[in-house]
Amino acid sequence: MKSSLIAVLAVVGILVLGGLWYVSAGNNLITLDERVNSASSQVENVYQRRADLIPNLVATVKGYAKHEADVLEAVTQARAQVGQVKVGGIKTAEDMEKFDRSQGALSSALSRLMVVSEKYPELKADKGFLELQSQLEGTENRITVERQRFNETVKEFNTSIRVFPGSIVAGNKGFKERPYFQAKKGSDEAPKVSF
Amino acid sequence: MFKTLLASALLLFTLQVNAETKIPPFQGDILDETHTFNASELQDLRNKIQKLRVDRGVWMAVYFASDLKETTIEDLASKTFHDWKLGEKDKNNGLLFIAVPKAHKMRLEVGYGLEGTLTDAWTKRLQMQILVPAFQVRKYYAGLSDTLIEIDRRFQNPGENPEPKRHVQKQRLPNFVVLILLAVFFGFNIFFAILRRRSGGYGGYSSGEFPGGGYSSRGGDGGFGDGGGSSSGGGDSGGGGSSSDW
Repeated sequence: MKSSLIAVLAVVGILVLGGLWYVSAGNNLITLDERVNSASSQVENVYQRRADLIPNLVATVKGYAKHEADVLEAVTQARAQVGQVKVGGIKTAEDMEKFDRSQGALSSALSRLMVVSEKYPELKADKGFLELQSQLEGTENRITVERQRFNETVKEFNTSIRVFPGSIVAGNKGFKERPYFQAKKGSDEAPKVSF
Repeated sequence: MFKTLLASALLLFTLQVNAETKIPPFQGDILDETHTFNASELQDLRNKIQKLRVDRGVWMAVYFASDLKETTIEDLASKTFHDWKLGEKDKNNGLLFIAVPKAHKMRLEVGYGLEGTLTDAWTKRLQMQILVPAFQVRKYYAGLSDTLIEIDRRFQNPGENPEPKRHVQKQRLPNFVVLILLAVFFGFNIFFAILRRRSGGYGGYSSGEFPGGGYSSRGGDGGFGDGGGSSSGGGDSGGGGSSSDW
């Protein structure tokens, strides 16, 4: 009688502990997942910040370099493309591919614009242009930083859903691995803004 | 087990990151690895930094690094800011000035919370107009001191967007001029002393204040805090600010 009671209590105890562990592991994953989401929107924010600089930049360059219509057109086009890609949180590899491709196209268009602007001394001396240049430089640096942070957060999340026994919880709750930003894919190199 | 595994994975990752670029521990307002400043300059800069903290709520640190530690100035600044956790956690009001004289590179890294006032464009202008010209002639103290004054002014009138101006250099004569004046002054002194001794009468000559040498030190009112006892607070930056070469 007494021993069976102990056995029942032990089983109940194990079940309760197991349940508690399961819930806390699940919550932990949710927290990490949310951190990846917020890192992702941080990345999108800084890219948006760059996109917001472009109309002014294009207008300023146009004032001095009318003959560079094709380069300016390319930047405007790429910016419009970026505006159409709304991923709303980079969740899957396709999201990442789409996002990175459109932003990469804008990066290379912008770097061409910056190279072209070197040819115009008056443009380079323009106060507004200098201001925009430093803002662009700052934004590119922010992009680098936020991409790095995103990858660090994703690394933490991916590790925790792949390592046993967290992987069981992740499998049950349907958590999937999140994609990383690839470092320097050629087209995605930040334009070098030099003074 | 899960926790341990995760922890060890994270630790390994952190160690890896640290192995790439080793950031020295936070040591208060100024870390001068390059021994660029003398004791009185350090004290004045500390006073100014502490004044910024008390008056403007800006938690600033200055780091003169011996080398770039095999990375870029931007990366070094970001990692240092992150490691030192500059600024208060809820305000992210940290600010880091980092310079690597060996590589002729500098960066002002702005905490998230200060980005609205210390914009990229403004920090770049500050560097081009004050820091770069001063550092080019090795006037590190003057450049940095002016920068601290400018940051203070910027917070005083955030909307006005004042053009950065030089302060210390303007009020101060170049060192060699001071030396020449000193030499002339003492030369005359000795000359007259000899003359007087020869003629017998010695007194009656009061050495006046040395003209031109007295520049007023601004913000040297000290007495704030406990001198470098600031603890790192938990603030963060997201790559705001700007960098320059000199």
